[in-house]
Amino acid sequence: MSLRSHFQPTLDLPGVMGTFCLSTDGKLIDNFLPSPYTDAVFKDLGARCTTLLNAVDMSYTKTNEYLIRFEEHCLYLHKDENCIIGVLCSGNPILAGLRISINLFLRTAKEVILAAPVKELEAADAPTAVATEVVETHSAIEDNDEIVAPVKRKEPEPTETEAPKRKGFFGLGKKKDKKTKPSNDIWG
Amino acid sequence: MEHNTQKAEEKYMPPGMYGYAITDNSGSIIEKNGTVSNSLDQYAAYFNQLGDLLGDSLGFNGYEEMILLGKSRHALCMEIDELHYAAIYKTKADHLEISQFIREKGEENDVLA
Repeated sequence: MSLRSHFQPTLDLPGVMGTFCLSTDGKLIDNFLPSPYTDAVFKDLGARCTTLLNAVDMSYTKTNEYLIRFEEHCLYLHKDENCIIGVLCSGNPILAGLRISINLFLRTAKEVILAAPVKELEAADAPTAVATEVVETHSAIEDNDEIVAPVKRKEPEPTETEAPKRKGFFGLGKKKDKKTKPSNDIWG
Repeated sequence: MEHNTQKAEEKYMPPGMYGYAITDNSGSIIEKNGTVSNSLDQYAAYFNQLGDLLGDSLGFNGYEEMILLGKSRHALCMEIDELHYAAIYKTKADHLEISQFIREKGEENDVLA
């Protein structure tokens, strides 16, 4: 029995647009979302799902179920020890029905989920390619303009701090040094 | 000498609601009423940001709210006009009523601003 057939009761619920199954570390196991949501979407989505679930677990309390509402849609996430299930709905879903169907799914499809391989998404995606191009062009500009990397100049070693010259009272003498005896010491 | 022993009056909350908190983007509390755990009000802004990012991945623009569904109580995180609202309520409480109450709070704060 395929994962799709296990998901079918959930997919048949009113308002449910599609479902997906992720591994606990956010990698895609299977995607039953509408066709615009290709597997490539899950490169971001999987990581963001796990970030959210971990953030809530660590900073608030351990939570297995989430309902995230958007203007016209909502996303129901259910975390299990083996996987993360996501259900995309339009409008307001019947939460009770959704929870029952996902609980049944997790009970019946446990072995299928464990046996299902994780889909490897392509490593070179558009955003990464753009980023490398930007770096390359930047280095090319540097080559053309012969920008020399800033060299740290060795500063002269700090010499002894020279005390500001003082001319003394009326400019006649220097500041008296406490250690040396004054020249006009009448006591010898 | 008279001592003022009167407690601050608790504001109205819908039935089943334990408490709510309003924070800004940095997590500083603007208003708090009833019982809301410190961690929730501190991290509400972060949770809302993550929820918004999830919607972004799916092509949805208008993030509205996130409900953390617990066994005995739910937590609601909402963002209205750069203010973050966190509320805790009983699972049996009417979610729509709670959500509406928080939205009204958001409108009040918008008018005051």
